[in-house]
Amino acid sequence: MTTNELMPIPGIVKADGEAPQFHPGECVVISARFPIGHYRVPLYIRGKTAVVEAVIEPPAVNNEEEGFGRNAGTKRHYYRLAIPLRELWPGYAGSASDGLRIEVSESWLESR
Amino acid sequence: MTASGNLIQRLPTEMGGLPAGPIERVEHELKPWEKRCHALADVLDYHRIINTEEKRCGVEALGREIVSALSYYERWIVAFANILFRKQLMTPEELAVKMDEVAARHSQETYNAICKHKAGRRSFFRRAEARDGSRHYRSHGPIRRLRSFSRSRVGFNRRAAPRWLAHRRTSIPRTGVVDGYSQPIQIDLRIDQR
Amino acid sequence: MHPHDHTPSIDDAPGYYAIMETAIRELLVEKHLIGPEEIRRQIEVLDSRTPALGAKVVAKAWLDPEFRARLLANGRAACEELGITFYDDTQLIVLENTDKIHNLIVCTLCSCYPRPVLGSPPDWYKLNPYRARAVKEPRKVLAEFGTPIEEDVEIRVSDSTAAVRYLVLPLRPAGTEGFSEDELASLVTRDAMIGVMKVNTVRRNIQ
Repeated sequence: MTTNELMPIPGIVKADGEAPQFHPGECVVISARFPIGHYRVPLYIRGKTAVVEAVIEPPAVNNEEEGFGRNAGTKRHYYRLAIPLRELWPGYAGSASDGLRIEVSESWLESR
Repeated sequence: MTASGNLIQRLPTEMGGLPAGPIERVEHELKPWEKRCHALADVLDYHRIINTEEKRCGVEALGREIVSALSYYERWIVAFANILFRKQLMTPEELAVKMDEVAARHSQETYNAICKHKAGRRSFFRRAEARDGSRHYRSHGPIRRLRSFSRSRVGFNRRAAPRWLAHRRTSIPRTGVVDGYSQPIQIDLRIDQR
Repeated sequence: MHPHDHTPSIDDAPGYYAIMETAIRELLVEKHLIGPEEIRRQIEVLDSRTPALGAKVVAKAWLDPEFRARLLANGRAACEELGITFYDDTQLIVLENTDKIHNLIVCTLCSCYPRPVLGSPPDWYKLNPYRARAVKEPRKVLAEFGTPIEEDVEIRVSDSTAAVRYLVLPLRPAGTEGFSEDELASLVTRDAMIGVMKVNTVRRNIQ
């Protein structure tokens, strides 16, 4: 379903997190922070650069906070990111086009 | 960053990129309790008593040693226990008492089934408790007759006690649990173990 | 325990964790936190989810281009068209294999798997070696499964970390022209839908 033909009605204010911050094709950087206790962003992609392949809809509760019992709150988008495997693993022996696809929360991403 | 800092910053369940050996293509049919454990996780998630992410967090919180030592669903059930305690939905004591009750119930059922199977033929024996509290089987029919017979004027030597009444002590562990949860209980049986 | 089926033995006694599971479940029911029939009901749901469901989805996608397009656009909605309900909050992204792209799925943080459409994952998927190596050396992992991938084919490894689950839509093998949907479904294995194997025309049971 595409809404390209439709113009949004002016004057609507979106709540926090309703509009995705990043879009397919954009370059983003995964934050290089190292929380303890619980996380859903693997160590091997921290600080890496990625390309947004898709915006996952609908936005969802922050899953790291969910781990501590927070079942509600502001919802944010998750993004399916693409990262070449040779950028993750020094000396990667496979094809240069081999890549990782992974979902990461908006709260972990910054514009490049 | 100290070496111990690396241990803290990596969750015990995170594996990506770590050195590892060959992949053994093992699989097994889920045991009934494992299926029930998985169903329990789904039901707890529906009710938002323990959501899926809390379960993951609970498994991570078990720490490396336990995560390595326990199997997949064993980790889940221990994590559930811990989370339920923390949420004050049950206490450790309640769970311990209930576990004893469940174990005893299963022990009795298993024991009953073994006895029923091994009895095979009509048994002359009944369970009894000796005065010292030890449990053993004591024959009521034939031995009593023999005793009264032996006291009779006819005399004991006239009829020798049948061989199958010879006192034999046999032990069956009450439970097969090898996890150390319960000690095998020795039962003295004067029963023909055929 | 089935005393009628075999010689009962001490090995039928439940282990420590089975006792713990029973105790927790009974306490939760006593405290009215869960209903007495909910676990049994959910086991029925779980037992009904097997790789045969995924195989039907794949076979239909091979035969029906419009279904395939809907499947690739929204995996969960397309599965729900076939009655495969998703009893949790997960979404499904179906990953299409082509002549130039081969997809593989893994969960390096835990064991996320498209359970509503494939059932329970095999042990090897949940154990450390697969989870450690699939993201780092997928070609070697695939070779160990007997699935070498040509150098000019791109491998995409999808690591599940959030609410999305994956299903690989394998390439339809050559020589299957004229096969019915059921015949096609019988070729599709669980391991092909994880991405560690390809589908070939040798018929075998769903694994």
